[in-house]
Parts: sequence; C-alpha cells; structure tokens
Amino acid sequence: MKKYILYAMLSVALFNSCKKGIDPAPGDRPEERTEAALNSYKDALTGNTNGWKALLFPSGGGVYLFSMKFGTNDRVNMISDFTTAAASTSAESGYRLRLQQSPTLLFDTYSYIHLLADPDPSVAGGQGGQGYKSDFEFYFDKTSGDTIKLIGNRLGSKLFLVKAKTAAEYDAFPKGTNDVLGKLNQVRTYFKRATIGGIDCEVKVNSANKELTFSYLNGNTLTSVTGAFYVDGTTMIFLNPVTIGTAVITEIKGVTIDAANRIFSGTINGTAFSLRESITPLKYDLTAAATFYNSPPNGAYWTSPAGFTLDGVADAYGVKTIPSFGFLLFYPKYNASYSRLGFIVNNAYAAYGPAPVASFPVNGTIKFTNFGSFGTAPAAILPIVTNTTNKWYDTGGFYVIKTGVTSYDLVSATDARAWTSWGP
Amino acid sequence: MKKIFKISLLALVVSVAVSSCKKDKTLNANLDAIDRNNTVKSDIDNWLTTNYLNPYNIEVKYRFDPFEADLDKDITPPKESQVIPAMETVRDIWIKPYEKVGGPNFMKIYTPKQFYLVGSPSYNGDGTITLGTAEGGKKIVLYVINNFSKSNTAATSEMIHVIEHEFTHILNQKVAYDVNFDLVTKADYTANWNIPSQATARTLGFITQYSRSNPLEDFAEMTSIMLQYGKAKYDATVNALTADSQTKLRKKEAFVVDYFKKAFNIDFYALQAEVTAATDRNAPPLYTALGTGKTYTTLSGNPSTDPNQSAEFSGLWAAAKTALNAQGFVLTTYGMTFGANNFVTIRYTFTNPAGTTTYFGDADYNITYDASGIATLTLINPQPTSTTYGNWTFVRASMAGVNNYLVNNKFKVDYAPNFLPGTKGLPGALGAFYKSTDPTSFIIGTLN
Repeated sequence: MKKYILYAMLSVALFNSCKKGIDPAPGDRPEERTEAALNSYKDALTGNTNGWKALLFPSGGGVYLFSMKFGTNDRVNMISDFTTAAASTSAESGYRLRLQQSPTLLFDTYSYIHLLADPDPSVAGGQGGQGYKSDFEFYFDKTSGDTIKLIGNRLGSKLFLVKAKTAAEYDAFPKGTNDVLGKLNQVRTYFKRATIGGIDCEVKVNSANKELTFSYLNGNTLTSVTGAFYVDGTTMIFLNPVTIGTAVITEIKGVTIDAANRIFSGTINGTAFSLRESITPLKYDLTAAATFYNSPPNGAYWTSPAGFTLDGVADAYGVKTIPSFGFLLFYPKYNASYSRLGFIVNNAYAAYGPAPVASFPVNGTIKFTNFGSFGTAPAAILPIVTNTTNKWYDTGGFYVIKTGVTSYDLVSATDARAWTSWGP
Repeated sequence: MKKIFKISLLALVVSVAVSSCKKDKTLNANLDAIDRNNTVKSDIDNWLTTNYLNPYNIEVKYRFDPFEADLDKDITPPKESQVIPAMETVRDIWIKPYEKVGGPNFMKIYTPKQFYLVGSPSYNGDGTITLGTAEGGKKIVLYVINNFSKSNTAATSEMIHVIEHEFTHILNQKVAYDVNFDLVTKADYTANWNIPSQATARTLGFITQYSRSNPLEDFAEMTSIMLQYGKAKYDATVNALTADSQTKLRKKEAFVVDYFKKAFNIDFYALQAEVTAATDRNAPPLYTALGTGKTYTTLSGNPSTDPNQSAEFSGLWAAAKTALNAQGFVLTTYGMTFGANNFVTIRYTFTNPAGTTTYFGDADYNITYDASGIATLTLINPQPTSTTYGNWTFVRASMAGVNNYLVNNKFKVDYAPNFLPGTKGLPGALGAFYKSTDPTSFIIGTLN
C-alpha cells in the first residue's frame, strides 16, 4: 500500500511540475533583446548630429574614406573620396538595421559605397565579378569610445565609423587624401628627396593607389618600402607602419606645402620632415639606358599608354585626346639609321611623328636628336604631336629608371619635371 | 491491480486539478523587430503599391536582401532612380500586352508574385553573366537594373527578352509544354553553349546561343525572342537561314504557338503584335536619338533603288543623277552622319562610269530642332578644304536640287512610313526627314 501511495505521489509530482519560477533564458525574450540591441545601434548611428567619418577597408585591400549621416527615417547621406565629384556631392540612399546572422547594418540601395562592390568593371573598375572585394552589409563588432567597428558579412571588409566632431570635419574628411596628393604634386620633380631618421630617401608618389614609396641606400643597394596611406585632417596615416632603417613611420603629422619653394613638410615621430625637389636620382644604373634601347621585352618596341607627365599632370600634352588614339610606340631599331616614336591610331602608325636618333652620353642618360619625321600631323592635333616631339628631343636627355621587370620610366635629365612610362 | 489503477486515476485527477496552472503569455513573438522589412514608405514604395501590388499582387523588392538572390555572388542593389523607369517599362511591354490578349485576369493568375531587382549583373564562373532568373513559378530576379535606360531601346529590348524568357519558365512550371519539342534538335544541346557563335547556333536550328543549353531554355528563348524581335524581324532572321535550320525553327515556333493556344487560350501572334507595338511606343522620339553617343549616328539610302520614295525627292534625285552623268560620274547613295552639338555631315557617294572608283562628296551642316522637334539644316560656312569637301564643290551644281531641298525646307524627323514594326530605336530601322509642310514629301533611309 505504501508503494501505491508513493506511486500516487510520484504521479502527482510528475503531472504537477508546472513551475513558473525557472526561466530557461533569463531576462527578456530573444526577439526583445535583439530589438533592444538594434535600437541601441540605431540610436547610436542616428544620435550623432554631425555624422560619422567612415573608413572602409575592402577585403581586396586599400582604404576608402566616407562621411555618413544616418537619419531616423532609414535614409543615409554620404560623400566619398572615390571620385572628386563624390567627395562634394552628397548621395542619399536607404539603410537598415536588421538581424541577419547578427545585428547588421545594411546599405540597401545603391550609393557610393556600392561602387567598390560593383562586380561590373565598367562602372568603377576593379575585377570582373568582384569589383574591389568590398561589402555593404556589416555586422557590429565592437564599440570603443567614439568609434564603432563593423565587419563585412560576406567578405570581411572592415568599416570604422568615427564620430565627426564638427560639420566642417564631416565635409573635409573624404577630401583630405586628394588634398594631400595635390600638395605632394606641387613638388614637381620625378625625384623627390627627404631625410628620415638620418637616411636620405627618394620618395615616389603613386596617386592612383594612394601610396608613397621610400627608396634608400642600404650599403650600396637601393631598398624600397611602400606604404598606403589615408589622410585625416592634416595627418597622413599609413595603413601599415613603414620602416626605414630604424625609423618606424606610422603617420606624418601636420602636413603642409610651401608652394613658393615647393617643399612639402610635416613631422614624423616628432621630428621635422620635408620633401624637396631633386633633379637627380639617389642612385642611378648606368647600364639602364643601353638595356632599354637594346632589349625591348618583345624584341622590337616599347609602348606607353599616355604621353608625357609634366609637373605631375598626367598626359599633359593630351595624346589620349587624339581621336582613336591607342598608345605611343617607341621602336629603337626601326631601321639601321633611326628609331621611331610612333603614334598608334586605329591600330596602325599614324602618318606623322618623329624619327629620332639615340645617343648615350657618359652620364648614362639617353638622348634623342632629330633625324626627320614621318609626316605632318593634321592641324587639329598638331600641337599635341609637336609638343611631344619637342620634349622627346630634350637637349638634356633622359634618365632611364627601371620601374619593374619590363617597365622603364624616361625622366628628363634637364629638370626631372617631365617623364614618360614605357612597358611591353 | 485494480486498486493501483484506481489510485493512479485518483492521482491523475488530483494532479490535473492541481497542475492546471495558467499560461498568461501568448506565443506571438514580434519578429518584425528582428527582420525589419517594413521600412519607412518612400514615393517608390507607394508607386509600386499602386502599380504592382494592388492590381497584380506582385511585390517588387528593390532594397537589398542577401537571401533573395545568390548568396555566393558579388552583386549590388539597384539605384533608386532606376526602379520606377524600369518597372514602368516592364508593365507596359510585358504585363499590358498579355492582359490585352489573355484577358484582364490572366496576369493576375499567372504572374510571379515577386520581383527582386539587382543593380549589377551576376558574374558566373565561366565568364558569362546572368541577366535574370525565375524560381518555382513565384519569383523573377532581374539583374543589371543600373544599366537600364528608357531611351536605350537596345537595353530595354534586352530586359524584355529576359522577362519574357523567365515568364515562359514560370508558365512552363504551371503547365508543361509538349515534350516532343525536345526532340526537334535533341542532338545539339550542349553545356558549353556560350562558346560556339550565335551563327553556329542558328545553323543548327537554335534561335540563340543560350537555346543550346537545354530544351527548357530553348523553349523560353524561342518564346522570348519571338516576342522581343516581333514578327517582321523574327521572320527575316529565320528566312535568312538554310532550309534545314528554317524547318527546325519553324517546327519549334509551331510548338510555342500551339502551347499558348492549348494551355492558356492565347493567340501567340496577336500577343507578339501587341508586344511589338508596345516596344515601338516605348522608343524615344527619333529626333532625340540622333548624334554621337545616342542611338543612331547615320541615316543613309539609295533613293534610286530603295522602295517607298516620295515623288518629290526621287524626282530631285533623278535630276541630280542625270546632271552628274553629264559630268561623267554615277551618283549612287547619300548618307548623313550625325555628330555632337547638332553637327551633321551629308555625303554623296558617286563612282566613275565603270564603277571601279568611288568618290565621296561631303558637306557639313548644322541641324537644329524647335520645341516640337522640327529640324532645320543650315550649311556651315566655311567648309573644310580636304578632298571629300572639294569633291562636294565639284558636284555642287549637279546636286543643286537636292541641296536646296535640304536647306529650303524644315523637316519633321521620324520613322519612315514603311518602318518594320518592332524596329523603332534599334539599328537598321527606317527613318525619314518629312517636309514639315507636306508629309508626302520626304527623304528616306536606314538608321544605324
């Protein structure tokens, strides 16, 4: 009988176990907590009335700067350093905060940020099917101080949102990099010199990739380090620290240009830094000119997609504006007595352009003299051809600088303010 | 044993009585908080509601949602400015013709219930790009919305091709087509459809390269190309092929026509005519489509041999021909090349009597349009001095009648009276300069 009572009690206990005290997930329900999280992110994004400075690091590399203002109506305004126009023309599009795998910031209609992710290379460049490998859906990684860090859901690009302190800072942020590149361009010569940590460096500016390359002598060999940078205010910040000798450079502060003397200056690690014009290379390969002349990679000629860069202005004479222009072609051994600097138009030599003869002065340069021409260019483009030809006959000749396995730059030895790039 | 049962029963009753505790909370978690598909309604949303959701129960989704299309592809959302123009065209060229031919309820029943718009193309591993996909009779994904332009008829036409193609899949998913269709060219389907040319595909009896991928796609391509091209262009395309290819394509055509009749009681040719008319209505006015970077840059013709000449102009042309004969040359064709900034070069082509040497006589004109698109041609002075312009001076006296016709009249620029339906806005269409005071007098030519 005792057993039966036990059974009875057991069954009572069994069926009666409806307890309200224990909650398997203490606190709010999952959707409530998610909503709270999304709301707090949204409040944070919309709360800053001056908007955000945004740094986008696509997984494909590089950094792109934006300023973004998030509205409570699911609309976002942004400007971007992707093009000069985008840096000053604000674009409005949609955004949403949504739970995907985790709370996600989704730029859900097309704006500047999508240019980097566009898989069609005809839109903004990049690779077919991939663009610049960039994201426009980001999950919230962490918040620290005035910075929100987000990571791309699909490709893992990084997006940092930093509170803009003033409206002026918001407007200026995407313009900073181009502004500094413009200042660097005022140092007009191909060779630019600086002394960093007691070491003489030659500095090369790559405006397209927003990179500086520092070359310095390590014993007797020329060592080069390249650093990509962006600009916040007047500070150039390198994505990865650049090491020159023992000096480690993470940023160059307070950059300015002395336009009259063409000196670009700032401070590195508390020490003044200045970048000046130089008309001679730090180290020059005396054999380069002969190699360039004798050994084009295809055995016959070199090509250049554009003409002369002058004082930092690419294609200053406008050869690319010649209708149906393809490229410039330099054929050193066009025949036994002269070379040819050909203008390739409609996939053939245009019936003009100079027939130069090359000579090799002892200083290792290459110098061209006029042997004749292949005809007179039509009046509309005559100035382009004449300017290019005259520069080619620069009486000082050209330094021949090897820039890659099969690429060379010819730099005017007169003032180093004009140069052309040649490849296979 | 009985006792145990009784006691257990008692215990059960007790326990039920005791344990009937109340559950206050209802199980209605508010998932809107998480998903947040309900955004603040914009003008675009309202337009889509009025034009798609209310009449057809179609959701048009343009805001990015990674789960609506391929998760493993890099694609982008569309530009907002592109959504309404694209969907207007979809409505006018795709929905309206079906509605007209299939009855007002046809589209309400058979349309897919969702459009998802993608701004960019979707790149495939083999170098091709995807322009559209259809899923389970329910959804159509349209890519490359960012490249859409109403005034670019070639692009519009391509988009309609994609929709008609995907919609055919959806119709096939509702009612299957006759399997005998698969047998017409069954030996020539291939996975590498994109490598052999379109010409090869057509020789083998396929209307496009993609038709060769499998019979399902072939059926969709047949339907969509017939609708996209219109009867005239389709017939011309097919009739230019070998007898064998023609037989195969006509056989496939018959399957398509038969399918639409039997499955949906739709007269396919009537539908084709409606789509063609809608495409033509959608084309930009011709005078806005001439010039560098626009749809057309040339208008050319041979007034002696081309059909449908106006009496006045062919009279002037014949007179010019006679006069030039007296100079010892044979006048053959004229051509207008439209440049930038209202610039047009009019060229007369003539040969020596043997026809072995061809000469060109060029003259530059300004062409200006008034508010209603009426054009005025003005000879530019001075003219360039190169050879072709010299030639023009040489024939100027003989061509006087034609030259005067050009500069002394104003012209309404429009498609020719005998233009082929479905060609407006596309290369090869026939255009004309109609005398503004007399529409029976005109210069006619082929636009390219």
